[in-house]
Amino acid sequence: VADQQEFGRFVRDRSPGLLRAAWLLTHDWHAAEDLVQNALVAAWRHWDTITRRDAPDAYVHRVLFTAFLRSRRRRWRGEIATADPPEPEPTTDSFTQSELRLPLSAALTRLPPRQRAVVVLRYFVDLTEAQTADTLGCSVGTVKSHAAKALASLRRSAELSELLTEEVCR
Amino acid sequence: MTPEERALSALLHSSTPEPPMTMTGAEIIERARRSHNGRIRRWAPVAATAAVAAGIIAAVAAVSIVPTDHAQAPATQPTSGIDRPVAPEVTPSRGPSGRAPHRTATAASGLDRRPAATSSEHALVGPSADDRPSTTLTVPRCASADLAADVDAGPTADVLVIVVRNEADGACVISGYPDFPALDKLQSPPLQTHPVEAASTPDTVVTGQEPPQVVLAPNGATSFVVDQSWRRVTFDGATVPAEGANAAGNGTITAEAFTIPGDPKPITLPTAIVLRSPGNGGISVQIGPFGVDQRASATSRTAAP
Repeated sequence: VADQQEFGRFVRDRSPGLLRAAWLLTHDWHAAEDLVQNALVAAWRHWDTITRRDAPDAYVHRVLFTAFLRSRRRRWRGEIATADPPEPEPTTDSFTQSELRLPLSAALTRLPPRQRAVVVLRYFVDLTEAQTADTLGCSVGTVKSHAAKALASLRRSAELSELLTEEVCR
Repeated sequence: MTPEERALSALLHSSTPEPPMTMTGAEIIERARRSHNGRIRRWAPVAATAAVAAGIIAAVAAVSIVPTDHAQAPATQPTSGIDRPVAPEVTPSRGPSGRAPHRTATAASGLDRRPAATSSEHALVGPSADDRPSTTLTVPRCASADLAADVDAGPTADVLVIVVRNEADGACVISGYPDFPALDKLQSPPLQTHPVEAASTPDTVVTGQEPPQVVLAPNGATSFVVDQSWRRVTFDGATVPAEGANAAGNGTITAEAFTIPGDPKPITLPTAIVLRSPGNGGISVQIGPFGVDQRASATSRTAAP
C-alpha cells in the first residue's frame, strides 16, 4: 500500500512532464500517452528495485525514450490513410503559444529521431549530457554530436532561428 | 549551456502544450495487473494473448481456416494449372492498422474483396466472401499498452510487435507490426509445420522462385500455408516478409486496393496477415507493411492512437 501511494504520487507529479516530453517526440497526444503509460507500467513492475536505487525518473526516461526510438525504426507506425481527416483538437492555447509552437514543432519533426530525443532530454527534460547519454545508452560524445547537429538543423529553420535569436536577446 | 541552448530550452518549455489527459497511479497499476500478472514474456505473446484471442476465435470461427484433406475440401472451379480445391479467404474488416473501421475511415471503402482460389496439400476451407463476419469484435477488454511494450522484442528492427488494444467501444483488437522474423518464436503448443503451398489463381500468380512468390492481383486475396522458415509473399511487385508464421499452419494474406485522390492508379497493399494455429486458436496479426508513407503522403495522415 505504501508503494502504491508512493507510485501514485510519482505518477501524479511526473506524468504531465513526461507527457509533454513524449508529445515533443511524437507530436501526437495518443502516441505520447501510449509511450508514457508503457513506461510507467514498466516502472511499476520494477518499482521496488528502482526506488531502492533511487532512480525512478531515470528508469522511466530510459524506457520511454528507448520505446520511442524503437518505434521509429519500424516501417509501420500505425499511420493509416484516411479520406476524412479528423477534426483538429480544439486548442486553448494563447496565440503566442501557437505561434511559437508551429515553427518549433515543424523543425523538431524534421530532426532524426535520435537527435530529437537528445534535444528533448537535454533542453526540455533538462538532463545533463551524461544523464542523457545514460538514458539513451550511448556515449557523452554521441550526445554532444547529436545535440550539435540538431542545433545546426534548427538554426536552418528561418522562423525558429528568429525565435531563438529573440530569446537569446531577451 | 550556450545562450542558444538556453534559448531553445526556454522555447521548448514555453511552447509545449499542457497535456489534455491525466493519469493516475491506480490506473497504471491496474494496467500492469491486468497484463497477466504484470508480465508478458517477450517471446510468449501467443500464451499471453490467448485469453484475448479466445473472443476473436469464437467470433471468427465461421471464417477460420481449417486444414483438411482433398476429400473434405469443397469442389471449386479449376484454375490455371490447378486441380485442387479453392480456399476462400478471411478478410478482416479492419483497416490496415488493425483498428476498428469506425475509427479508420480509409480510402479503401467499397473494395471488391473476392475470395481467392488456391490450393495446397492442406486445402483451406472457409466461407464465401459474402458470409465473412467482421473481425471487429467486442470481446473482454484487454490490457493493451502493457502487451505492446513487452512483446516488442529485440534491439533490431526485425522484430515482431503485437499490440493488443482496447477500442473505445470495448473491442479488443490485436494488431501487429510487420517485421516478422520473430514469428517462428511463437511457440505455443508444438504445432505442425507445413511448406508454403500456393498456386496460381485468378487472384494470384505464384512464381517458380524459391522461396515462392505470390503476386496478388489488386483486390485479390490468397491463402497459404507457411512453415517456420522465411517465406516472402509479393504483392503487386512489392515484397513483404510474411515469413515464419507461428510454426502453425495456416495463414491468410489479404490485400486491398487504395485509390489516392487525384491519382487514378490504384495501389494494392496487403492489409492483413491472419495467422491461425489450430492448436491454440491462433492469433490475428494485422499489418500495413509497405507503401504506407506513399499512401499517407498522398492523403492525410491519421496516427492511430
